[in-house]
Amino acid sequence: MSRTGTDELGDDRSTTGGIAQEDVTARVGMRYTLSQIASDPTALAGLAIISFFTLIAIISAIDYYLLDYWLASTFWVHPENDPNTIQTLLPPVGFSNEFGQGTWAHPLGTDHRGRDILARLFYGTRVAITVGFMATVIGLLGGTVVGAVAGYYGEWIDDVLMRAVETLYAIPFLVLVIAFMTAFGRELSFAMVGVGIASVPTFARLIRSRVVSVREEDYVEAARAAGVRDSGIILRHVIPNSFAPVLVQATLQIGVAILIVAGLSFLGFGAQPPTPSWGQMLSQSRNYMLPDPWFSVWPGLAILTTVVGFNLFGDGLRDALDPRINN
Amino acid sequence: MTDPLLEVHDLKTQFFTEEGVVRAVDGVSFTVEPGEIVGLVGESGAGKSVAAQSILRLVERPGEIVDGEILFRGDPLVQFEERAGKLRPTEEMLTNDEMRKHIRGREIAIIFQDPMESLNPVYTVGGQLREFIEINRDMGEKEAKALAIDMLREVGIPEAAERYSDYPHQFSGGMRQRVLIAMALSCEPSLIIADEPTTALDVTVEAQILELVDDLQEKYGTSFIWVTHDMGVVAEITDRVNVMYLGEIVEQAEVDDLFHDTKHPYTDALLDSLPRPDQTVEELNPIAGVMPEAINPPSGCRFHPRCPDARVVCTRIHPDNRIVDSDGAPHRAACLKNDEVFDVGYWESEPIELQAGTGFGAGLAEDRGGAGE
Repeated sequence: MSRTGTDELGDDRSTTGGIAQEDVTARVGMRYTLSQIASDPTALAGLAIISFFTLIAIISAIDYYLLDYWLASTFWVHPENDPNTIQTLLPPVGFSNEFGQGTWAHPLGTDHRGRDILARLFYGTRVAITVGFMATVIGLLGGTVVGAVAGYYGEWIDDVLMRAVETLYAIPFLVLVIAFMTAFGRELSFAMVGVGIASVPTFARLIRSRVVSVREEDYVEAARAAGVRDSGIILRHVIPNSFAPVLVQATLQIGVAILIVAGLSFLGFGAQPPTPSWGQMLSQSRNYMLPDPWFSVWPGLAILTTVVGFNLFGDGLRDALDPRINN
Repeated sequence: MTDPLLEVHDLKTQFFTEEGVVRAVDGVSFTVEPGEIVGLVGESGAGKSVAAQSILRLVERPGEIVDGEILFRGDPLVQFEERAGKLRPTEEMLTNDEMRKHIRGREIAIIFQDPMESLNPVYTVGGQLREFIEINRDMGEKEAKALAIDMLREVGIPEAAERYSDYPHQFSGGMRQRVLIAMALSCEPSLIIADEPTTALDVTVEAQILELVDDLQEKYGTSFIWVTHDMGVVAEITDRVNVMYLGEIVEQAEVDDLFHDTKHPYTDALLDSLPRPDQTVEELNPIAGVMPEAINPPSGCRFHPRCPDARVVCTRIHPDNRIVDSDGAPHRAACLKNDEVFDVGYWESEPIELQAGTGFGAGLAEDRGGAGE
C-alpha cells in the first residue's frame, strides 16, 4: 500500500490501523535498518564500544600527527617519554608491590620503563582502530571489485579471478602478512595493506556468491536492454543489491584485523617502539607476567573489548539486514 | 509500402546444453512495419521470448545466435556470411558497443514480463527512469527528471511528482508495469518489444494496460512486437500476427484473417482452447499433449504428433512457411493441408491416429517416450 493511500484513509482507520500500518512499512532501507539496530541492546552496546574507542582514536591521532603529543604532555603525561616518572612497574591504584604503592597519578600503573600504562593504552587505540578500518576498507574495495567482476562476467574471467583469490586464501593469514611485510617493510602502513590484501578473498568469495544470483534478476536484464554499460550495471545495479552480507562481514572483519595487527605487533611487525600499540605492550609485558600480571591484563582487556564491540555490532547489523529474522 | 522498420530473416538461435543443442529459434522470418503492432504468439517454450531477445542480441550463454539476418532500418543487427567454410558475423554487423550506444533503449526498448522483478529495489522509481533517460537522450539531471515526471503522468500514475521518489515496493503490479512502459517510451524508441507484459497482471489491470498502450502507440507512432500466449490479447491489440511452434513460425497473417480464415491446425487448436464470447461450447478443447523438446524435434511437420489433421505425409515432409492466400495481405502458413500450394498429395495420404494423449499425465508420458527415441 502506498503512503498516500494510507493518508487518504484518514482517522477512521487509526484505531485498528496501528499494527497494520507497521506491517506495510518496508523491511528494507536505511531508516528501517537503523531503527532495528536502535531496538537491539547488544548491537547498541557494540555501537557504544566502537564509538568510544573511535573517539579516543581520533583524539590520539590528532595529538600524535598534528600536535606531536603536545596535548598529552601539557594536560597529562607523555606516553612515550615521561620526564616526571622514573618509578617503573608501579601497580594500579589500590595495589602495592616491592616498587611501591599504586597512585592516582598512574591509575593503571606504569610499565618497565616507568611510562604511564593508561596513557599508552589511550594512544595505542589509534593504531588498533586505524589499522582495523584501513585494512578492512582495502580488503572490502579489492574484494568487492574482484568478486563482482568475477560473478558478473562468469566463464573464464570468473575462473581466473577466483582461482587467484583462492590461492591467496590457501596461505595462512599471518604468514601471508608477515611475508608481505618482510618484503616491503615493517612499518604500520604496510601492515594495513598486508592485512587488507589478505582479507580480499573473504570479501571476494562472499560478494561473488551474491552477484551470481543478482545478475540473473530482471532489472539487470532491463538495464542491459536499456543500453547501460557493464561498469554502470555492476556499480549501480549489481553491487548495491549484493552488499548487505559484505557490510556485515566488514564489521566483523575490523575485529579480526585488530586482532591480527595486535599479533603482528607482538611479533615485532607494525608500530615500532616507542610508538605505543596494544600488541607491543603485550609483547613487552610477557617478561613480567607472573610478578606483575596487571601489565599484560590492561592491553589484553583493551583488545578484547574492541573486538567484542565490533562483533556485537556486526551480529546486530546482520539481524537488522536480514528480513527473515525480524520479529 | 514503405521500407519495413525491422526485418528478420531465417533467424536461428540455439542453446548449447549438455543434453544437446536446443534449437529454440529455428529459421524465423518476419517483418515489422513502422507504426504497427506485431504479435508473436505461441505456447510456453515455443521460442518467442528467445526470438525477441535475439533482436537486441541479449541472448546469454549457453545461448547463441548462429545464423540469420536482422536488419533495423537497413542496419545489420545480426548478419552472417560464409568464410572459410564457417558462418561468421559480417564486417558490417554492429559491434556490441554500437548495439549498446545506438540501439538498446534508444531505438529498440523492451518491456519484460514480470513488473515485480524488473525494477531495481534499491533505487527510487524516478531515479531509475531518470538514469535510463540520461543515458539514452543525452540529457542533464534536471531535464531528465522533468521528463521522467512527465512520462509517469503520461502513463497514468496519479501524483506523479510525489510518486517519483517512491521505491518499487510501494507500487502495485499494474502501477509498476506502467512505470516500465514509461521507461520504454521515455527514450522515444522506434520499436518496443513487449515480452508478455500483461501475463503477471490480473485481467482488469491487463485491460487498462492494453488500452494505455493502444493510446500511446497512436500518439507516439511507435512500433511494437507483442510477445504473448494469449489469443485474446492478440485480437485486442495487434495488427499482424506470427504464430510460433517449436522455434518456427507456422502461420503469419493479418489479425482478422488469422481469426476468421485460419490456415494452420495449431492456430485452430490455440483458438479452440480459449473461451470465446461469440461461440457457446460445452467444454473447452485443450491442445493434446505438450510441446516436445526442441533438442529433438519430431520428423516432418513438428506439430504432427499433436495435430488432429495429421496424415502419413506429415510425418515425412517438413513444410516451410509459404504464402497460401495472396488476396489482400499475404497469408502464410506452414501446413501441408494447403495442398494447392504444397502439392505433396495430402488428401490422398492416410490419416494417422492422434499420437498424443490428452491430459497432463498422458502428455508427460508421451514426451518422455519421444525424448527416448
